[in-house]
Amino acid sequence: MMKKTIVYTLLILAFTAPLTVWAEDISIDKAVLEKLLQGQEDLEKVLKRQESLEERIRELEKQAQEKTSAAPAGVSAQKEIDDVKDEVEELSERLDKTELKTLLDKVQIGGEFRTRLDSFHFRNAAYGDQDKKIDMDEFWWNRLRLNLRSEVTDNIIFQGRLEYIKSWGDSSIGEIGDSGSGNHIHNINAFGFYDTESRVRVERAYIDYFVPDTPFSVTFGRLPTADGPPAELRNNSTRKATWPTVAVNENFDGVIANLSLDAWTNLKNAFLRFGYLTIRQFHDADDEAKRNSMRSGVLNLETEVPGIKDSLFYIGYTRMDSMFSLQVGPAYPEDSADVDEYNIYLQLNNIGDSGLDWFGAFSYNHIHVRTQGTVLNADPFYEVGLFCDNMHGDMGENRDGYAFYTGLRYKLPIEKLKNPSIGFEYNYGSKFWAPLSKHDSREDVANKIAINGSAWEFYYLQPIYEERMFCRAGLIYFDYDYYIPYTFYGSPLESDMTMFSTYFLVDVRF
Amino acid sequence: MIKKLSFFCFIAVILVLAASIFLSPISYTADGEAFFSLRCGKCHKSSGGEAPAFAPVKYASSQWERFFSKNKHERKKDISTEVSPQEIELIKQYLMKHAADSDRPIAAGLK
Repeated sequence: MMKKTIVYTLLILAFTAPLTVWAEDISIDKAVLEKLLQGQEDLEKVLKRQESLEERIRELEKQAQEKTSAAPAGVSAQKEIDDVKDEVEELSERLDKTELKTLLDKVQIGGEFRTRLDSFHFRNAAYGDQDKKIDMDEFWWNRLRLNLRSEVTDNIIFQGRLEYIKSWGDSSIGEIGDSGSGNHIHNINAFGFYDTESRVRVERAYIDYFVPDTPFSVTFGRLPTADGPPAELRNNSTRKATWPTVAVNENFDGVIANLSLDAWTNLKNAFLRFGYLTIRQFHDADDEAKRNSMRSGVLNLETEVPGIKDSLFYIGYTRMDSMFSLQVGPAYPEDSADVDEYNIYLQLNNIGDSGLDWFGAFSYNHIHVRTQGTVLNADPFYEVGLFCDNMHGDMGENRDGYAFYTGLRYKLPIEKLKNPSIGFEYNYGSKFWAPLSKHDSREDVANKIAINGSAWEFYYLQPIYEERMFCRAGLIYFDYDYYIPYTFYGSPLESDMTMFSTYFLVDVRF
Repeated sequence: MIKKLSFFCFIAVILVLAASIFLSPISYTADGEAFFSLRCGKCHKSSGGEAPAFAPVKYASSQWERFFSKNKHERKKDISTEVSPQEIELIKQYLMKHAADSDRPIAAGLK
């Protein structure tokens, strides 16, 4: 019994001892568990707190969003709109004033101002005195041009130019321009352009009417007929007149019918033009006054040469009809002659992008003189007609004259100097060359285009401020073979007169 | 003497300038007008175009300057993929050169 008790006791101990150890282990885990449970409680508290905070944040965000999306944005946008409204209102007010001014300012005005210094030396400048010399080292003059333009409607454009050309001070060219001085210069109409008084004249004033939806237009008034191609080359400008200077280079009143050929052909800048010009008008003041009015007609075709950009080809026919008689009365002819003139002109600008411009012209005129001239009240009496007189036994003969004119301008590739240009021009007029530019020389001391002889010019053109200001210096040499009074009357007489001129000018455009 | 000298100078100048045409590598003007017709004319047409036709005289040169410096065309249409910056520069130069306040050619029947 005792043995059994000991065995049972040992067995119990054997089973309970591990249980005791396990029981100790359980007690440890429980502590941990308790801690964990405590942590869990803390975590739950934190989570709850977090949830609470998140909820609070969401509420705050919602409130903030409501606040930012509602009241402040509205205020900001409204303020912005008000500002814009104020600005628009102010702009509108200013625009009204500008618009009113624009509507009232119907004429655009631009201008050109030039100051020029000439130094010239005439030799063999008198009828009977081959050694006659006339020198003037300094001759200063100004030229002001006011250019007007008004677009009356889309199809009606007015353009004009008021011009003032005056020598400096109270100067006088004295014997140079005096018809009684006996020198040749009066007869070539040198200095025919300038004034010693501050007068403004209307150089051109005309209307262009473009017939709606057609290629036709009509130009009438005091026409753009002076300073045509190639004058723009040495004036550093764009084309400024209808016909090349060698064809027409005077101010004329008349009407020109223009037909643009671009729409009908593959040509570009092509026009067929007919101009009716009045040179002089006479009316019969009494029964004895018998002089026909002098009219002129110009028919021409011009176009850009196909394939050559910025070129001009011109071919034209000009007729001066009923050249007037010097004297009036039944014993004198109503007119002295008719003149037919033919012109061909070609100008190529910036050839091959090289900076080189070139032009060339050839003109021919045929003069139909009347068999009867005008008897002058001189002693001895003699009869003169156009390019003829009985003293030289050449009355009633038809005359042929011709001229050619060529030149070039090269823009130097020197960018530091703003690409200055050099140019050279040469022209020749034969004994009976009588162009429609006999009266005017608006550029030089004497008229190059109308010379009966040769003229050479070399110039240097320096841009100063873009296209607004430039200066030009040049040399001109005139060598006269004949002199012809600018009225065309009488026989052309041989002349050895020469003129060497240097000049410097400054041009400003505004 | 002067006549002969002048004639000699005339011939010399002509020869020098004629030679310069072939020797000069400098091109003064690229063809802004051609790019204007080609690029602008693609959309700007007098009839049936995406946009109305216009001429350089639409604006003065300073207005064209502002138009390009502020890239105003982008407000209507972005053309940067169709026209290169070089072409735009040439077109700008052409438009400014022939702007309303430019030195315009004058002859009877010319607008």
